[in-house]
Amino acid sequence: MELAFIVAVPFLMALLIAITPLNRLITKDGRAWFAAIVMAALFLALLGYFPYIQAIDHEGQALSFISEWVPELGLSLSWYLDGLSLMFSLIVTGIGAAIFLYAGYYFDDEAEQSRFMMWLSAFAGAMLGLVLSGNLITLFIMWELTSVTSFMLIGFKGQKSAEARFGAQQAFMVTGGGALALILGFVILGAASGQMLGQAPVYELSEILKLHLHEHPYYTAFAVLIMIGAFSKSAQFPFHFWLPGAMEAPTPASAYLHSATMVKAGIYLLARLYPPMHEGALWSQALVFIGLTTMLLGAFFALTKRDLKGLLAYSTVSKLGAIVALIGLPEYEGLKAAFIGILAHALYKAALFLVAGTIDHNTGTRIIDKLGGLRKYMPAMTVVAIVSALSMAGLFPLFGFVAKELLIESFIETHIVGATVALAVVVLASTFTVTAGLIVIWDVFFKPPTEHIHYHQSSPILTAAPGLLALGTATFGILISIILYPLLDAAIPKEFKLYLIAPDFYNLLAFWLSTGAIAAGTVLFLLRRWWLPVFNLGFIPSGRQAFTGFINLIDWIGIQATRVQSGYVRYYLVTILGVVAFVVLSSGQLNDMARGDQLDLANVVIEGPTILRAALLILTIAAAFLATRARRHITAALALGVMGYAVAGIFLMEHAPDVALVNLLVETLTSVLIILMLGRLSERQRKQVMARLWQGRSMVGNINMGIFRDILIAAAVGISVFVFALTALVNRPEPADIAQGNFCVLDGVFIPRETDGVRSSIARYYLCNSYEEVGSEDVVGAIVSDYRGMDTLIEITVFSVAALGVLTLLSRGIQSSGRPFVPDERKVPDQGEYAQDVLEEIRTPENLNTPFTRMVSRIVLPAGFLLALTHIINGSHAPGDGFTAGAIAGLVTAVWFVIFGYDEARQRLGAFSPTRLLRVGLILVSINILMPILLDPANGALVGYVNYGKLLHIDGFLASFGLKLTSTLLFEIGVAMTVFGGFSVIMEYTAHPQSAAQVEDLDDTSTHTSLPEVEG
Amino acid sequence: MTDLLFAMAVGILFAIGVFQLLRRDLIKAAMGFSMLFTAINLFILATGAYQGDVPPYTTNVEAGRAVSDPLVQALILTAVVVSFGSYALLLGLINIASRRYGSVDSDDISDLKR
Repeated sequence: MELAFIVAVPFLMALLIAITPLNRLITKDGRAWFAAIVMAALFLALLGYFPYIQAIDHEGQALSFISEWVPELGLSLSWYLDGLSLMFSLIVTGIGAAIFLYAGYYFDDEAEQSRFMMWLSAFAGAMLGLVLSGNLITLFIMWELTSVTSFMLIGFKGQKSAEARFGAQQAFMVTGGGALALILGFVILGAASGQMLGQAPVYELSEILKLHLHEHPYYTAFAVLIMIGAFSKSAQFPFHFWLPGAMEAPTPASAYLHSATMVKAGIYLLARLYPPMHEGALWSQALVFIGLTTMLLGAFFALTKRDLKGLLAYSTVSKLGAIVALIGLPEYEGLKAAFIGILAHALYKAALFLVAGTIDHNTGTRIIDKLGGLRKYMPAMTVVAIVSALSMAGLFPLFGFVAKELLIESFIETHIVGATVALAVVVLASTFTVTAGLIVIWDVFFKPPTEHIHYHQSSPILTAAPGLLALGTATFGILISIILYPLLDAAIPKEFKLYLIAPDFYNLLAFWLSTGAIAAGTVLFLLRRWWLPVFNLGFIPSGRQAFTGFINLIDWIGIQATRVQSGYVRYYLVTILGVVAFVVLSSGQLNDMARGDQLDLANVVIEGPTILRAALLILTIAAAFLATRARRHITAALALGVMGYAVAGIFLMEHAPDVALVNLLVETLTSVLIILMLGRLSERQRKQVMARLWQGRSMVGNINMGIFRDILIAAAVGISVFVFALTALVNRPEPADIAQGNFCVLDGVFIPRETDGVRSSIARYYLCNSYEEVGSEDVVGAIVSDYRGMDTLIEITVFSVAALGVLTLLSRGIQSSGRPFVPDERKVPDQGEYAQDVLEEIRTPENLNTPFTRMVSRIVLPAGFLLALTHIINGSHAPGDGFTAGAIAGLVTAVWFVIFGYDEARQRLGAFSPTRLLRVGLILVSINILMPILLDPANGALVGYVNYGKLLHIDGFLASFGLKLTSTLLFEIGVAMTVFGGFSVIMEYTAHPQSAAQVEDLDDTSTHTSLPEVEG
Repeated sequence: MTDLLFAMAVGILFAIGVFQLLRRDLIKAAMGFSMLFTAINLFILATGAYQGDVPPYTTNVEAGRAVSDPLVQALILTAVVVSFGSYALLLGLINIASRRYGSVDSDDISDLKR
């Protein structure tokens, strides 16, 4: 599973950077070196596989690791390493090391740097996963991950730059659209391979690679779909335009994604599927045609670009086209040249991008016309640029030279149809590339500048990182047979030779064509004064227009479609709920209910409890009805409170004391909350909406027809819920009779943990085992804090998120005023003001803040905390638990906010921070859940009963106080802290007067445009 | 009988809640949600396997007394607190809407169309 580990490392690094406290442990430079060293270590680790790969016979089995994922669907997560994937993964990690180092120093702002490094690490992980994945589905997932992460990287400056947003969107939509074709192609290919192997669909590479897929009738379908996916990813014509658009990305991302790695993903895929697919005629035709078209167009457009990165982007498009065309050649003819081309291009183009980045960083511009004479400022960089650009042009003895020779040679030797035309295109494109290379060198570094350049020196790392890559460019060509031959030998299943210069100059034609291209390119460069201005005239059609047109078309269709939309929220709800009611009522549930023979209405015995139950239910409904009818919000709120208390009564009737207790507390808090909240809302707005309450948009005379429609919908939903509920209730299996003495014994066995062959309800199991297993007499508490502890963790997390949501919403105004959370001195005299509005409504003439109430609330707070504590401690054998404790504590704090007003209460509470409480509580619960697995890893269970008292040998001591220090207790404490924290956050921010005060200001100038800026 | 009673109560509460939800007054719509939460809790309570005479304590089980179902109670316990959280969040959203649009009438907040 080491390969899976290698893939996981960059993701883990991204996670480390994403977790702020951990990220803060490391300095800015430290982060750069850390990331670079991690990538270098991965590079070495992958190199360590080299002996294995070499040992593989060409027909033999590659390293592969498969772990089951969804076996029912034939899906697995698998990793696969052979010569090809090794080569690509070495590029990803090797170039990655240089880029990560560079990126770490590229950003001046630390927050930007770490955010960028996070996304770049995630991207590196996805890319490594892509080239190492062992089946098509894993590959596809990683493929999409590279799209998502590259979206974030291209749009990195999106908050400031519309161009960056557009570029990111365009790249994402083009590659994402291609990916849709790709997955379809993969699925068909999987089905086809399955048929050829006589089994279910096969996605494993190790099996697919042995097939001859062109014999399958679906070949054309999946080949075309896969090609569309690969072409869109690798910026092939007609999808090439997204790559230049993506140049809005910060330069390290362009260097990594758009020259060395992501754009090579499509090429990797084509090379990967070469063995099983290349025998089809379509393969060669499509790849060579599209590849050469792209190559020529890219090389040509590169000359028209005056933005250095744009030039580099188009020359990348050109090179990618050349590689695709090479992969299209039959009989493995082109693979050698393609792979050398990939490596050479990755080295020189990444270096050139980094050079462009440093220039941009140091001078503030990338426009070639504004640059010039940079050799005086950056001599070392000039050398790097010359080496890399000449390698791009293909000069002896650089790495690029070999790549170009091999490219031309391959097209001389091949016997495909139209080989001569192809050769001519290749030579022409090479000529353009030479010109582009010379433009980069001369116009940027040597030509006297036309205007003054504001130059700032930067860290030497920004030169060293591309320097490292240039070193590779300079040496790999000379050392080619030593360094690269073994690697390529493992990747290409065919005999071949590799050298810088053929010992006998056997291919003179290639030599002359290559030299001719260099000469012609130089001439073209010298004549640039005549042809360059032509391009400045303007219109050069590009894919961008097509893309924009397409997006506009979608917009237009969207606008046409919205014509049927009313835009009123309520009408959408009507539609949704109406459909729900229709579906439930028409689904045959009614018939099920009719069969519910347990509903024996004839023999109803109406007893006291039933009558009381019915009375409470009627009270609940009556209160709800009253809330609907109420013409004042405060009345409705109080009616809702009655409803809540009535429900608590029902819970009590049903012998659920824990629930009843929590419900009572929470209902009280709800009432306080809504009263405070009503105080925050403008009275004018509320009166206005109340006046319109029974008015609708479809009035007939004085009667609003909408009301009837709503009643109809509500009744339909109510009936369908009733039917659903009744069906569920009467068809419930008959439970075991509790009143029997042997309730916990089933078929002569005490209901055990392993219920093999013994059927019992889960509730029965809990009832019989909770004391032995959890040490809690209160079974509800045992379920909450242990059996379903994970569920509780998630619930309180949801609660915390809701509380923090309230904080975010209500503190918006406060934060944007740029002030910390301090009481406003001016406000102190009328601290009860925010409640005034409410108080008027309930017609109480006096402020709640009286000496008597103040005294009571001063006593109530400590008493409440004490009460909460007893609830936690006695939770295991009496009603009440962590939730109750948290709610009690929250309630007494709310009392303070109501009585004292916000400012005074906040001051009295001092350093008490509800959000911190929230955090500590959640951490405590999480630790509790993890503890069992830490104490007993062999068992492997999360959430379990641990007696910490016994573990620490203090149980005897604690027992003398009647205490037991168990996981349940700690869990309840954690829950209580979280719930208390959440309630306090909500109450504190709802009670905050500063944001409430603006409501009245707003009434005069009700705006429809944006959130108003807060005063102060 | 209890089943029918509860099913009816849940159905009626749901109907009232939905009717509230369809009002143009956002505050009342939020209250409608609160009613739906209540109705759902009542339904969960009613699905309990045991409608006993005493609370679910192990001591009561040992004494052979008819206890009520602990599982549904545990489910409701957490649900009650979470619904408070979502209710508070709803009210917070209404607060923001009121500030932004100068109205708590859902018909005035029709940016969906734009």
